[in-house]
Amino acid sequence: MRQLWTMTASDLRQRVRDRSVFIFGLVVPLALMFVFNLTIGSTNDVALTPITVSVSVPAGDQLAATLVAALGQVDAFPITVDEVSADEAGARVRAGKAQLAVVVPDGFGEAVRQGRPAVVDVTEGNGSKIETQIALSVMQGVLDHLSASAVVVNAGVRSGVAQARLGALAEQAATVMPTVNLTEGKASSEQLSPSGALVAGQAGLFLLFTVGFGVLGLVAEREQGTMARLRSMPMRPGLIVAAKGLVSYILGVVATTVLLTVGSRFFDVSFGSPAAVAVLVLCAVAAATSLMFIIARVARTAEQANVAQSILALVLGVAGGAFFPLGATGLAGRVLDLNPIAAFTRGLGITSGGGGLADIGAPVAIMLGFAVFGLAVSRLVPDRGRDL
Amino acid sequence: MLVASDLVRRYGDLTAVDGVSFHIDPGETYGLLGPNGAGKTTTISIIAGLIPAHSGTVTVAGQPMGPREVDAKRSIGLVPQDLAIYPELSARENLAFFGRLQGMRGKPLTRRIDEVLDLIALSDRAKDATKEFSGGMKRRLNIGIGLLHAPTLLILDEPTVGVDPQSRNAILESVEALSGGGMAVLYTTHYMEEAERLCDRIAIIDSGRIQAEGTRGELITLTGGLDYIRLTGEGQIEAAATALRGLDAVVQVVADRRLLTLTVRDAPAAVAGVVTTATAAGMTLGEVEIVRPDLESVFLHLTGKALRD
Amino acid sequence: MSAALAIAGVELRRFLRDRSNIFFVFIFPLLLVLVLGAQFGGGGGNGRVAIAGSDSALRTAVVTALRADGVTVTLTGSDAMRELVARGRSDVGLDIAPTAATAFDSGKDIAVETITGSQQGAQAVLQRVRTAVGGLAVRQGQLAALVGAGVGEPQASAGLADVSASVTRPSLAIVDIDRVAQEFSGLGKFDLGAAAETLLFVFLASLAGSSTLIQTRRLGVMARTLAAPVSAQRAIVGQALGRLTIAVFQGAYIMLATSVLFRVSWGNLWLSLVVLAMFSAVAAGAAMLVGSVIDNDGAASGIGVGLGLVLAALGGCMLPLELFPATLRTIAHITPHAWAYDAFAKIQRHGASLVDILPQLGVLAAMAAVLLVAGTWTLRRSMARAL
Repeated sequence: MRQLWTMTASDLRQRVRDRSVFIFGLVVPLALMFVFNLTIGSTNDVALTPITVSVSVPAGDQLAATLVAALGQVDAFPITVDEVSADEAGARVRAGKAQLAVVVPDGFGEAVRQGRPAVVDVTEGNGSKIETQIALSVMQGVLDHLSASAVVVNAGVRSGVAQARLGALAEQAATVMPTVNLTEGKASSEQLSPSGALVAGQAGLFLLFTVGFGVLGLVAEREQGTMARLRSMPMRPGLIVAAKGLVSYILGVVATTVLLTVGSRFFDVSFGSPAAVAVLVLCAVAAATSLMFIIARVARTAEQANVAQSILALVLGVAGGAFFPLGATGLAGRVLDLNPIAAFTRGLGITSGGGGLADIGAPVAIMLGFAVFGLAVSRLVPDRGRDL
Repeated sequence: MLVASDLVRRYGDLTAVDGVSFHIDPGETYGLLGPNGAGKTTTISIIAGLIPAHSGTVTVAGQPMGPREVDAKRSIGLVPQDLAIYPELSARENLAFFGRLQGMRGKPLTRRIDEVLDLIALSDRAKDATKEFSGGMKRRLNIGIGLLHAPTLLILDEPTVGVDPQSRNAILESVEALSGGGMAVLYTTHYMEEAERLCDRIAIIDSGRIQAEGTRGELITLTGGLDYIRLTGEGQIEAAATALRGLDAVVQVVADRRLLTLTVRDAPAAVAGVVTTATAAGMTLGEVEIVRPDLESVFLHLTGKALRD
Repeated sequence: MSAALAIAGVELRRFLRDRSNIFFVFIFPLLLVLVLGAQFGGGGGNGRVAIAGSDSALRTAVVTALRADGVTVTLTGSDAMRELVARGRSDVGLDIAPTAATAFDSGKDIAVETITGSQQGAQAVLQRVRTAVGGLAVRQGQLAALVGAGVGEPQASAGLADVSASVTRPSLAIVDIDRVAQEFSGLGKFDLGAAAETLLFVFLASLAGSSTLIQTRRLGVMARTLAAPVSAQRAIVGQALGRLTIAVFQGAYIMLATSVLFRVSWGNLWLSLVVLAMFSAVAAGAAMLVGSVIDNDGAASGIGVGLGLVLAALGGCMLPLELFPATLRTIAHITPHAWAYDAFAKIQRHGASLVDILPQLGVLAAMAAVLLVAGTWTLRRSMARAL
């Protein structure tokens, strides 16, 4: 036990002197978080903002008025409707005074009633994409309703409904229509804020680099020749490997904790329950460390080990959503879920949404499963550097 | 002190160590002499418990040795061929690290580190990171670490490879001093002079087998007390070789381009006849050299090839 | 000059012979272009809706209506639907209960539970769901009215279908004059990602290569080169040329591979190559500077990768510059990436001529000159320093 600690402490001391671990484990990820937050973080504002719509409606057109009136009834956010001339409507949007211009053509109402083509010209301006999308969708709904009466009348004619009853038919269609109620059931949010996803993703990605400074030291010791000396020492050979694993684990836990702490302070992110977050960090580091054991086993030289590590880190990082979330569903989604970085980010999403220890079972199971799998594989793959 | 019996170790189809047996007594310096690739390092790796043998046994101070044999490993100090030191750490830190792994600590460890630093003449550079060291300094530290815990068997694997002549001499002197202190030493080298100078007994190893073993004197008698005469020249070399084979004193003639190597009885007496015969056969002599038997000639005699490639 | 070319040639060969480069130089950039293209290049459409509930007329009708509106629909179970929404993999979830399905069949009022995600855009998708479901009710009303007027149900249904097909429904003609939308209109799925990745990897490959320069210095190859009858100036020009060759090679490879594999349009190829060459010169200068200022190749590759990623992110290679806030867009132009990005954008999207991109090329040339001079100077000084 004392020998294990001697090796671990000596390794940690060397890593601290080498400084590379600071660059890869802390400086680069923090710099990336900072820059990403400047760019991505600032473009994501979820709150809906009021918009102004400039409309031009032909005088006395009842259906056109219905169309425009529907805009005022959107309750998710306020829409100001300004009635202006057709030319003015477009000009306002171009000038940035309104986000949307709606120009209803003359004879719109009549055309709709008769089922003839009717086109409403809409111009979208700068910004407020989501709000204008909602306004457009509302108008599309109204247009569908308006055309419905034309459709039912025409269908009535074809089916031989008496001329006298046709007028009532349209009205009836609207009144006997069943109501559809959409009730909002609220699910707990497991989603990190954009800044939170960024901090978690970068912490996860660079964890895979940081843990390399421990276990991959095995390959360097082989190259340096110190491995031979270590194996001649009066201790079980397994201790050497255990010490390297411990170094990886300590470096990984420290770096990830620092990154999450600094990240959440700087970028105003809350990851929720510290206990649950700590469990997630411990599991993620275990998974990442197990991966390094496979590399240490397969790589012949330190250079090969570093290359293999970078490839795995980047592939798992991108697939785990370190740079941008991957929205895969179905089988692809399930496969992506097995990625320890994805599980780590997901776990942090659960805790940031208020989840506690009891709620992070799935991501913890995935990460621990990955750790066990990794260790098992590292025992099974041929050891390419063993022969001294 | 050390008993190795019938060690075998294979790498794929290659049998790197093929039935090696020898023993070393306390206070004895034992040399393994052979060219690169002869199986020296593999033999040492088995003896130091770095790798298991496929068959055969090793005991050190009466205890069985193997990769998991902790007790036997306490008795040995290994000086690997590669510089097994940490470049980021100072000389003192390197010594302290391996000392602790040997189970030493506290005042005795500090005291012993000071002794060893003195011995390897690195006391004034003890605090510098070893990556700043010259090649010779690194080699000395490499040996110092092996000595730190005062092992009863010190294993040195080609400790002078790539070392300048001055440092080499210093290393050889310190090894000579060590064996005087009752420590058994196992020394591998492909330098004949080192083996001759340091070792009480020498094993000549080639192709994974010990070809011969004994003191220097015993090994040289294996050549039958024969000397060598080397002739270098131009002209009718083949004809000269044929003519020389006819001389009574000449036992064997090996022709290699411009060089004829003759195995002869009593070279000083035979040399005049050899020169006359060669010249008469049409060889223009450039150089004539008389070689009295040494380990090099023993090796040549045993394996038919030169020690250095 | 031939000596400098020989040195450059050796550097390129060393770069290509290092098998570890195969993944980073040849495979990884294309992988990222592919992933980025699939992600941002018009993948999502009008949102993603997950629907839970067993097969029913109601579910089929909702799915048909949503798909007609360009929404991506996933059919799944109730718990899975909630998870998809919670994790942001779907914008809106719908739970269609069996009671709702039977109510729909019999023309009664129906209630459907919706779950809306917390991310940007989910509200807009919810509105699309409202519109689509509202349309279903209309249909039911029409049917009921016709039946009430004495038409048989199958006949009424067929009639409605016929008329719906023949009647031109009123529609919205949308013109988008949004700056960003216009800037990206007509851009292929992979075009944006390919230009950005080219810049990212050219710079990254160059900076990562700075460790090669350190090794060259350490191995004494640099000293040997200087000992040869080659002036120090030429040896250094050779090193610079070596870095430049590697950078141009990396960039040209990505341009070629993306245009062949992903049909990325690079606009005027020659102009694009000029931009690439100028940007590569900046990258080469930066690599020389890093490679001669730092003596530890491990630290150099760490700094190289870090700097390469950070500058790329700031220069618009991870999120398009057009989406940056105005001040940040200005700050972004301290990076060569932003200038090269602008130049590529002009060529790719607006068919710019050489004159149009002269300002960008000028800035890049100035950056390259400063870095190459600084790199040359530090490299000369570094040779006097022992490693």
